[in-house]
Amino acid sequence: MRLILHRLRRRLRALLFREAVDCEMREELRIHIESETEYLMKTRGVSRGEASRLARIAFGGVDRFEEDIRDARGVRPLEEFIRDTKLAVRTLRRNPAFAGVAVLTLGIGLGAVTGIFSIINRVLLQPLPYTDADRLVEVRHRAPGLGLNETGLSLGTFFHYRTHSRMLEGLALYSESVLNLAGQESAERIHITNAGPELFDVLGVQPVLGRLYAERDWTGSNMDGRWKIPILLSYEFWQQRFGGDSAIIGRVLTINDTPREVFGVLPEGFPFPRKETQVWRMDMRDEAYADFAAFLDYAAVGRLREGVTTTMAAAELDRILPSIEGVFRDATAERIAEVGLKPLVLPLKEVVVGETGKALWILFGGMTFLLLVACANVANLFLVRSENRAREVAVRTALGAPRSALARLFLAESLVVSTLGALLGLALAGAGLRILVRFSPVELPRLEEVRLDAWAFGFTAAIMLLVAVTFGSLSLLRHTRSSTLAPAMKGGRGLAGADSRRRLVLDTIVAAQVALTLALLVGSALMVQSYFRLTEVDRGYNAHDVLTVEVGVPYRKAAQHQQLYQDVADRMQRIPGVMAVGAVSVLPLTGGGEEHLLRAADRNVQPDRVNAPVAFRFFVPGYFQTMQTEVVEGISFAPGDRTTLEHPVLVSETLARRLFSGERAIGRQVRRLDSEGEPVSLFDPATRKVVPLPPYTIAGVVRDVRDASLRARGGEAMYIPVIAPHVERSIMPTEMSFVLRTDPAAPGVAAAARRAVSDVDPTLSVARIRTMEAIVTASTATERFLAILLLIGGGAALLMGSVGIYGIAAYNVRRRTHEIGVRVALGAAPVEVMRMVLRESAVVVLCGAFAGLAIAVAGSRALHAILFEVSPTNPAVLAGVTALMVGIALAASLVPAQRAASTDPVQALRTD
Amino acid sequence: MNPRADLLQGTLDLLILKTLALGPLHGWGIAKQIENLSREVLSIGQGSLYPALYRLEDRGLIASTWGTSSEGRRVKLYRLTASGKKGLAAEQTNWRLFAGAVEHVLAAT
Repeated sequence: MRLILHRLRRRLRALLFREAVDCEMREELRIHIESETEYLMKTRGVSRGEASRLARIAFGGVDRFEEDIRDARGVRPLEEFIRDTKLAVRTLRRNPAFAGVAVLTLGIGLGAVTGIFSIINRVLLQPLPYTDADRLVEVRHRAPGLGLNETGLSLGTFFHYRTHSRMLEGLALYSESVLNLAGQESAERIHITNAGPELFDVLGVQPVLGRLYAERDWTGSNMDGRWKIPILLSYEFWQQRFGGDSAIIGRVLTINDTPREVFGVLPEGFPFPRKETQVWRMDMRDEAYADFAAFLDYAAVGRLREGVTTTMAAAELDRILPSIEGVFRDATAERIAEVGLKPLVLPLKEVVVGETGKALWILFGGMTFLLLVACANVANLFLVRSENRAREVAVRTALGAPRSALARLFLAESLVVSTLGALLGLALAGAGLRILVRFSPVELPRLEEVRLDAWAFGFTAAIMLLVAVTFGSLSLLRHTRSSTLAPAMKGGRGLAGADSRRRLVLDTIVAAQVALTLALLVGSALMVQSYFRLTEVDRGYNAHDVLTVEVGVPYRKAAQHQQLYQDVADRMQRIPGVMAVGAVSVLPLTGGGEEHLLRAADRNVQPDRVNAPVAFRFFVPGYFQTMQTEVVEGISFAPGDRTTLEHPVLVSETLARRLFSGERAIGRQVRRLDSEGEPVSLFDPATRKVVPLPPYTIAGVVRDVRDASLRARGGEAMYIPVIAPHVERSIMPTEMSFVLRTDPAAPGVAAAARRAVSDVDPTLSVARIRTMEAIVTASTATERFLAILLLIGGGAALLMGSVGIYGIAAYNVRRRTHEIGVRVALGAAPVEVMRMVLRESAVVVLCGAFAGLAIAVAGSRALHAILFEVSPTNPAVLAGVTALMVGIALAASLVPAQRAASTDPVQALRTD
Repeated sequence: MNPRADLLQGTLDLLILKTLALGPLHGWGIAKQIENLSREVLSIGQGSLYPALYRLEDRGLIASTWGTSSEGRRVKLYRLTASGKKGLAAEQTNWRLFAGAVEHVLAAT
């Protein structure tokens, strides 16, 4: 070990202080000769001059020994490497066009791949910031009996799984809400997660201040108003709202008119279930009141035992689910069979990342294609260059340069080019990422953490080395057989096919370039088409010039909801520039909201399909007029519309069709059902009796609206007008989004709307104010992001590809000037020559195009999940892109072909 | 021309180590010392002496410092290190074994 250190030190010294070491060496040799001189003078009695001469002769050439000694120092390879690199830089500087194009091309390709890699690495590959995060899973259900592809857990299934599962180490329920935090003057909307103490066990988190709440803290009920529910604060909320005051522990905050006591502060950046969460509120559920399938909307996070896979856990839950029969009041054999629950166990990371993960991998694939095209281009450049250097190489060989020296020179050149390319790529990737993080065009978890890190540098360096070695050996490949000087000195003049092997390599590279570019173009064309389909889809509402304002009402004013909403709407109506006003509990494309089971009241026999939950939406009259959603028939609930119907509701066309199988829906009645399929009953305080909830009467039918996402066809929805006095209090929303159709020229509508809300009641809180168009745009962010980046990638590949094809065609023509000259001299017409050159290009390009189509079709399966109403094998797209690609490729070889056609035979035959 | 034997490959290291075992010397001194001790039979080509010195130093068997020679000249003095002493002993044994073996072969009748 010490010896290794000793040597390392010596080598480093020899390398870093080369001058000093060399100087020392020369000094030592000088002393040697001097000593010998004096010795000779003494022993042989010759003059100093003669002695010195003899000493030098005895010593031999000083230079040669210096080289030998340097060899013995063991740093020779490195020194040579530095020398080669210097030489490479010099030769490249003499050829700036080659170097510039190669570096630029590589830089773009490497930059694109490195940028996407950095995102993927941070977002998809790095573990989530929890202890042993790879063992965390989200537990969900598939409920085919309810027509639900994915739903959450009920309390019953939660307790059942938690008691009986051996593969899950822990399981915790949580739900999210947005509530009002009372402030000095006005209220503030805060993001809350409700969860029991087990959540923090499962996630393995400890507070930075105070303590977590524990089961023993769940002492009372909040009915007497004295018990304060324990809460935890997020670090960021604690800093921003309370200035990081450590006296926060034990303080009481009033949230939704209920006092809560702060128990602790969680670590900075703790992002469960999302980074916006500001408060975790203690929430314990009683197994005695649990049900099997009334509400399947609890989210649950679990921790797998060591060595357990998600498949194993899902299989276990599936196995223990049937034993739930009889445990809960609605867990009857029929109900279990009817609902048909199927447990799903998904890695938490997959859930956090969601659909974006797929998009990122597609993008990574696309950018890899771009890099390959770039590499093919640079490979071409190197090959062509090495052809042109045949003479230089021959001279070097003749002067005694060994093959290893040539190899080192080529390697050094490709290393210099790829290092510069990598540096440019890193710079491009860094700039791109900064823009991406700054403008965050797409909803990506952990995007703010994305940067160029050591991983990115390592990744780039690895690709760079690979590229450098490949190019270096490509250059060398050309010269493996050029050991004889003669043909090279003659200028490599030869007939076509004289070196078909080399031609084949070049042609293969061009074909590969065409293939990869085509595949990338097909992918981006599909994404672009898909994106436009998505934006042009008939949404069922007009988002232009609609402003949305989220307004929250304190819980204690629940009795006045209807009046408050109406007053706000009336005030907003008076704002100059506002043409129509309405409100809805959940805006399209924003998600969430209540879902309940429904049944036609006059039908006791259900349709063969089990009821699926229906989205309940509350609205303030004027909503459909503002959104310009057509009310197909019945009452449209414009502002001021009156009806004599009891509990009037509107239903979507799809829901009307399902409930009444095509019969007329107006005037029919529907009932809300509980989980057992029985009509909901309520305790009536006036008569002190439990009475069934009165049925809703259908007053009108509304066109389907793309509500959950632009991709999903309009679903089943029931709209309940918030009009006096017929709204059931238990499901009345405490939050409404007001929609204002505005004159685009009118100034200050948003500020005026905010004032209108506080004018009605200062305890009302205003959350987000957004345009409806922004909401629609945000919902297609991933598609747009993907389409734009793939399009840029495709464009860059196309540009590189055509430059590459042009280069090769031009080179081929140049190389065959002599042959073409002979042909012309023998009477070939210019058109024939041109046709010949084009034909040769066309064969290569078409081969590449076919390969590209094959790659595109094979790869399109990956796109399938993310495409909207576009088939991955859409013939129009495939044909169009192929035509474009082939056309551009042929156009690129047209110029060289023309040049070939105009060859002057005399000139050509004279050409060396 | 003096009757001089070519140095057997590898024996140079042994000779240098042995010479330095007698005391620190500079490069020229080592060459001269070997010549003297071998009664002018062995002549060290300078071309092999200095690379050998660098190699030995690299292996940690000898170390060098700039000092003053007996003639008062500023020279690079080489000396044997502790591991050099061990190396010398091992090389010496090897050499004797080898020389003896060669002698046996030559003594065959």
